[in-house]
Amino acid sequence: MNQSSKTVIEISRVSKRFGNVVAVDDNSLVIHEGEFFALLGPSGCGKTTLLRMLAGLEVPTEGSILIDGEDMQGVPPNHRPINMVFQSYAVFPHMTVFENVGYGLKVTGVPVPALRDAVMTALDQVQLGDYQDRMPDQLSGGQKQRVALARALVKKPKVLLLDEPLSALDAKLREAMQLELVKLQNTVGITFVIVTHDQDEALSMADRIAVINEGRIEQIAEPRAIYEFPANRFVADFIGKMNVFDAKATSEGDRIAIEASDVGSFTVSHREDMRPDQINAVAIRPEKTRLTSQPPDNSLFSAEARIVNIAYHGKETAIFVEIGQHTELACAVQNTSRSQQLPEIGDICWVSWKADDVLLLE
Amino acid sequence: MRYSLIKRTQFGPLDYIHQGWMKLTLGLSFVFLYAPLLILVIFSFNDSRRNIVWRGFTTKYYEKAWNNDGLIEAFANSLTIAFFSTIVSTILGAMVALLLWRFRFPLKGAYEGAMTLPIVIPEICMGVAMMAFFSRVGWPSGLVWPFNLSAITIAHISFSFPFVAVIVRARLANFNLELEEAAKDLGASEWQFFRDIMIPFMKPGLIAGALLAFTLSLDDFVITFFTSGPDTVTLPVKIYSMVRFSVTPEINAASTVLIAITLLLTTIALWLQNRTGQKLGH
Repeated sequence: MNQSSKTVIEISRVSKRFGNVVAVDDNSLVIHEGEFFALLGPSGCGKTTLLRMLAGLEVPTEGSILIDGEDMQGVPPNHRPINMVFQSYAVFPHMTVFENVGYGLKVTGVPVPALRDAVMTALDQVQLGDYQDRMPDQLSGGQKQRVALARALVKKPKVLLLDEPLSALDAKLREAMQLELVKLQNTVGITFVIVTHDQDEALSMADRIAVINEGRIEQIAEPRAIYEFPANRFVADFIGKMNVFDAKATSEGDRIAIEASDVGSFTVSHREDMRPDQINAVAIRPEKTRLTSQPPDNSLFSAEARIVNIAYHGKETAIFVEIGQHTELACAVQNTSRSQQLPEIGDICWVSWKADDVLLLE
Repeated sequence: MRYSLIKRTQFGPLDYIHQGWMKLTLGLSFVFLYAPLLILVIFSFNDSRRNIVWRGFTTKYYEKAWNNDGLIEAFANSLTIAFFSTIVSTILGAMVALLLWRFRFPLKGAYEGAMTLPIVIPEICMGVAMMAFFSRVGWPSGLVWPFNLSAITIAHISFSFPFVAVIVRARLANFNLELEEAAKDLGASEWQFFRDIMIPFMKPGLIAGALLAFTLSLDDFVITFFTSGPDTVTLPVKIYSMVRFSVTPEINAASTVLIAITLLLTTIALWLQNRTGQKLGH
């Protein structure tokens, strides 16, 4: 929201190898001031290693990291304008909440009155104002996390790093904390870089997302672009649910004709970054499909299908249909009314979608 | 009615305390541990020169022990040795524990084994080895107090610090490495991290280790016997030499005092540990 175009982190051609294992493989990335940036990927993809290199807890094997215009090579973590919220929270167990939050100021020699004011402001920001004398083992997981947050924020860092901050919280609390983190980031105006494997978290909180797989950044874009226009098969598959079919494509005037084996054929608008002969598959998200008992009008692509499985999820129902003999497809139906009739297994129906909602894949 | 054949019980399957053999085990272990100590303490108040028949209550043997200059000197020696040995073994043991926990280096496994070996080596071998070592290097004897105790103190340090190392090492195994990263991330230098995070974390292990080192030193007989000269007698060695003449209630009194000191120190250490625990938990 409040980001400017000023660069605060510039990662160029950074690699990190542990012995023969390449954890981070030649990545470049620019993060702007005031941005809420997410590093998203499956576990073991190198996102945490990238974050730790920003904090100075790991040293890149190759490449350079600039923070606020300064090369961080050889700068130890205690001299970087960056602070981190650790996955285990790492709240010091023998210190009170106040001492924990004040620690980063105490070690740098901030005088007591200034320290007290700063700590109380930070505790108020995370709504722990009344907890200053508590010991960490009297706090819940969510409260410990707030202590870890306040402890980092009180240092007024250029960038705040968060390593899987919500993974240890239960679902309800996680959702509340997502909103709160975004609010907090808007208030303090500090650049947040969050590492997560949870796509919901990344999509709902971040201004921009870098999707990482096997040490390489696959796509950097805004949440909507990541979801609606994934750059490749990995991103399409990793974010949300996706039905992928093998397909052949040919040019047909200003459109592209798609021939998907069991599903049928249709045409989509031309994409400049892809030649038809590069297209080997097409994909459609479950919620972009429609199920009807009668064939829909001609503006939609449609195919006859048989319902093979139904999974009820409360707000929506996942209905699995079979087109032809071999192609299974997941459709999501919103349960918008109590009286909504759901089909039954074995029913024959029509599955349809807008041709331009289909994603073309290599 | 299959279940009618089964003998029913009113206790749960894990309520062993209601079983006879459980009570017997508890009772026997107490008798084995504390009957001799109890008799020692009771007979220290016996009004008899011989230690066999009870002839009435008296505290005169405590007085006698107190006025026995040789015994008091030996006691002072023991406390002095224990004091210095505890300080050095606690520091050395903690450093070894940190080294083993924190760093990887060649032959680390061999080093770790070598560190714990003195725990299992028979004391008599350690004693003979110490004696041979000090005579070989020509360690000066007959120095002024307390330097005349240096040989014994060094011997005590060498068998105490591995115990401290083992205890502190066990404590360190639970250390969350992210605490170190968090401290550094917040701006702490290596030394500030060590002082503010590491030492408070190790404290319970340090207290327990120091206590163990102190009691090990205070009551060691075998190794001390081999390294002490005629002018450097410690309390256990003194008691042994007194027993050789006759077992009097005076010895019982001296031993009872030793037990009382050990108990007191253990209580203090437990209380200290408990207090830090409560401060953390309250």
